[in-house]
Amino acid sequence: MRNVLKFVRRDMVKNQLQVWLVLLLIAATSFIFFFIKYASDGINTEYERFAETQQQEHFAFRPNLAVFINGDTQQQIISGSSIPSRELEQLGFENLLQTYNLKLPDEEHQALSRLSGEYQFHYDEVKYKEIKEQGVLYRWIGDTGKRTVNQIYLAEGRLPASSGEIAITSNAVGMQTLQVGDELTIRGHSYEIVGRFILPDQIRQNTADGERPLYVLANPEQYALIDDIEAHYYSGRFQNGTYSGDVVRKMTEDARFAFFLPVQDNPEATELIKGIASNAGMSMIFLITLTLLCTGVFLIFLNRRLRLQQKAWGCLIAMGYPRALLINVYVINNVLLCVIGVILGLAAAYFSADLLIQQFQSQYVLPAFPKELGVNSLLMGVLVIVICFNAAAYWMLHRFMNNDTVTMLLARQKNEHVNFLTRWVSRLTVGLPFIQRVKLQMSARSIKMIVLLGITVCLSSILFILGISLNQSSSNAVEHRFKGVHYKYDIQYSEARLAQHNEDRNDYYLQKDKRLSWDGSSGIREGAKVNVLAFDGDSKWLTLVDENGKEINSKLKEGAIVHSSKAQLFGLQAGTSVQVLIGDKEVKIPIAAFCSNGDPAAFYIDKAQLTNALGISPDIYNGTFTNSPDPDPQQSGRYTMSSAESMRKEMTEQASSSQLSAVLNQILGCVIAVIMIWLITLITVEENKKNMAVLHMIGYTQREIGSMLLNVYTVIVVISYIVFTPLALFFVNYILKMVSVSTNDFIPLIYNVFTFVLVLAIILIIYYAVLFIARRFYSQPSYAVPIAAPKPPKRVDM
Amino acid sequence: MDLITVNDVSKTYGEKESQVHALNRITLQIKKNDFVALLGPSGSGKSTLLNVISGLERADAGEIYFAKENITRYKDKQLVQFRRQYTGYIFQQYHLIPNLTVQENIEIGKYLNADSLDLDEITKELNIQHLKKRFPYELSGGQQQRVAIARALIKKPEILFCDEATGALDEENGKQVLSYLQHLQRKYGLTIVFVTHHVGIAKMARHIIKLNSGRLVDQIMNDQPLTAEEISWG
Repeated sequence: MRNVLKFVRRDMVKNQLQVWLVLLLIAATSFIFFFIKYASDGINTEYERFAETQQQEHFAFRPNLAVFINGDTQQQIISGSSIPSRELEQLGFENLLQTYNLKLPDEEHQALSRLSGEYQFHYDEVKYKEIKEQGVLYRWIGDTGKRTVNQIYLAEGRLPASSGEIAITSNAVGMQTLQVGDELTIRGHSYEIVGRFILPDQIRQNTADGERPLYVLANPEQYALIDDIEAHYYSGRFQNGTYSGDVVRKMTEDARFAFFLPVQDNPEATELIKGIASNAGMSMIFLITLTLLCTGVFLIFLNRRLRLQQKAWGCLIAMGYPRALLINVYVINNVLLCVIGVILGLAAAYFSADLLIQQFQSQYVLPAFPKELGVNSLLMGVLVIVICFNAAAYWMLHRFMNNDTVTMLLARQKNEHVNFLTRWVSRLTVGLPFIQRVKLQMSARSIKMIVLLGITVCLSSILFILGISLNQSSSNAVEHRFKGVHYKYDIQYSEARLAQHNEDRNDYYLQKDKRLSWDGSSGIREGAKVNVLAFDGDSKWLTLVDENGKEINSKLKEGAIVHSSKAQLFGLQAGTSVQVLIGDKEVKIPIAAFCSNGDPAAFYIDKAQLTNALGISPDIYNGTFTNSPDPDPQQSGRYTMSSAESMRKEMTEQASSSQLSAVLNQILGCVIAVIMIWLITLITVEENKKNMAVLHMIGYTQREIGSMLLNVYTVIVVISYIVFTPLALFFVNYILKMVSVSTNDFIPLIYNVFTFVLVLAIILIIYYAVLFIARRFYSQPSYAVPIAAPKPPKRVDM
Repeated sequence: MDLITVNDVSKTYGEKESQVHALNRITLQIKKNDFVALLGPSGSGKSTLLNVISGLERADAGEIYFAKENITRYKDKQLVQFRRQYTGYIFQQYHLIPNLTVQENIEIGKYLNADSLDLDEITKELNIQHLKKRFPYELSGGQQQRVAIARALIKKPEILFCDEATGALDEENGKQVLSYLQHLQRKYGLTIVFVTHHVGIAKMARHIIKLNSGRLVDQIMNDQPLTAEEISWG
């Protein structure tokens, strides 16, 4: 056994370039996986610990009193309230509850008791007031230390004790960085920051702006002084302390909740953990992809080495060494190689994971960011690599060692067989110039090289097409979003109100995140989330156009107008009858047309039709298109005003981010192509050393040899590209569709002939560039050694 | 007329203790149209001498003239051109390109000279015309070596270098190959330099150069070279 071990190890030393390359690939695979896992496991554990300790909510909700209270009782309540009767009737019961003008604490308490008893949860009421100033949303809370759900965690300093003191959640507010001890001025009042706290339902980026609120904790007296409407909702947590997905799903579908947000769907609570999960998912993809790639490369090298040593192995078997022993010796060495590679990667990951952790620490809120590697991750990383490599090696060794011993012993006398493809190419290329024929024959020599090249072209095509499509669609998205938009400002109110006719503005009624459902082609009920935007269809403010650019606002009278992305994503067709659930009412409406502009998430509907179906006033509105920043005499209370210009700017910035993602895809495509083509070239050189030497000796120049033996895969690259482009398009379309559905945005697959030509050109440029460099790298091989005659005997008599 | 003149050529491999004098001050002449045998045991320097003469390796000292041209001063590109134009090579292990047919393997040689021999003629001479569509693995050793000879000859070289060209063949095939070489040498007026450790084969040559430990130990002008059929193989 020792001698066989020595033999294998000496062979590894002899082929140390291959061994180093494989070791490097294993270490790189292990490094990438553990680098991400060290950060993600530690943060994940800390998140779970923190969520448990601080009693993080399982869901946020408000009961739907419009469902709990029947029609007659509603009328009695309305008639008994101090709100003007016309407004009460026309706004509708649900809208009145949403405005907080209609408060029904007893009814709400009864509804809460029923729901908490039925679903077995306890809850806290969360009260807050919001102030928006200089682009920052301040959310005031005043309940210091009496929570049973979402308990406040003091990260730094202390809780506010007097009126001039506050504690905050973030340390970056707009462009300003705040520390404990600093002063913060809101609406002209200066407050001393005495503490920084973390809310378990706000595990997100540590910056606050107009969208993401800065939580300001004040003592109850100070909170009472904040002059703004108080809003409230409830934080619930199951009594057994365990989040139950099944129950949550049931609760989501329960119409008795006016608003229900499971913690897992709450971006504020899950921003960090979803980022971590995405990283962890990526690490798994890297682990599997790179392991498969490394294994493929390793098998090619192993196969070649075994073939070169056939005689030696045949000799050992003939001498009586059991085949199993020989296989084991090889496998032991491979396991050793894998373990060394994995340990190297693990060690490198341990020392460099701090960089990733620091990156998270600088961006997100959590009490601690520990570096930790879970047992599962460790086992996963080690086992996937070791098992994959050694299972593949065992398979190849088993196949090889079970060859006939005599055949192995006579291996050197055996000539290399040609595959079917070589025969075909030889027949089909008669008549072509000689060099072209040789090139084609050489390219057909190895099926595995063709497969490897095919995979490379396919992967690179996917990434390049995805990159180009993302780049174009992000630019097009901005253009299409604002095509037909004739207003300068879009104002959205937090509560519904009644309109008085005004030429200077166009009022609409918006219901966000409503569920749209329809019967799919397979008979199964399908659905998507939409923003229902009910307006009068006046094209002076918003002109919706179809794919041909034809105005279609008039179609609103026939039914809904839906963004064409929904047709592409879900296979919806004009005439399909869809249902939208608003409050406790289900509105049925046919799709009249598809628009190519406007908001991809919008479901445009005629305002009169919707209000009629909901039984509310046709004058209701909660949003306005206008050309003046203050056209509405009722413009008080809470509202957000966005200018079309600023929205366009924001979208353009988002487009830049998509374009960055596109660039990253293209870089990844380049890296994969470069690595794979380099490997293919390396293997081609290895396999052609003898042929290169022969051609060199009989008078071929380096350039001619390179052209005939190395630069032979252009045709394969082009054919692979033609064959795999439909597959690449399918994958890219699938990826973009998935992203579009999950983000409720639309990222179309955009391509044309130019795209295909460009991608092919990029792949060919990479191919030629790598080949050019590789040829220089291998330009001076030893020519005499590969074809030297075996040594004759020492003695000569004459 | 001397085709090749070797003047005081030395070649050393390795350094210090492991230094080996592969060629030690060799001086000789090879005449045009001659059949020359380089004879010697393993490590005598015959293959090194062949490589140096054919321009594959550079001598450390001394000069080599090919038809009065000093090839030791040639740059790499000139050496490639020299091999392309004037030399042919036959190897012990044939070294045909495995995934090219017999015809394509021969065309590898033909491509190097626009004024090459006719492919049909040369395959007929070597009795391999019926094998043109086959791949090397479908041929016997003797057939493969005949293809290798065709590949070397089709470009009409001035000089043919054979490195143990029959070393992998049995007597019948070996003699057949030698017979073809002898015949073709006469027909095309070739100069052949044949490296061998086989004394019997060396007797086919008119000029026998004996080497040992990198030194030229003897040169014999054989006035009565044997034919391939006459040599003893054992």
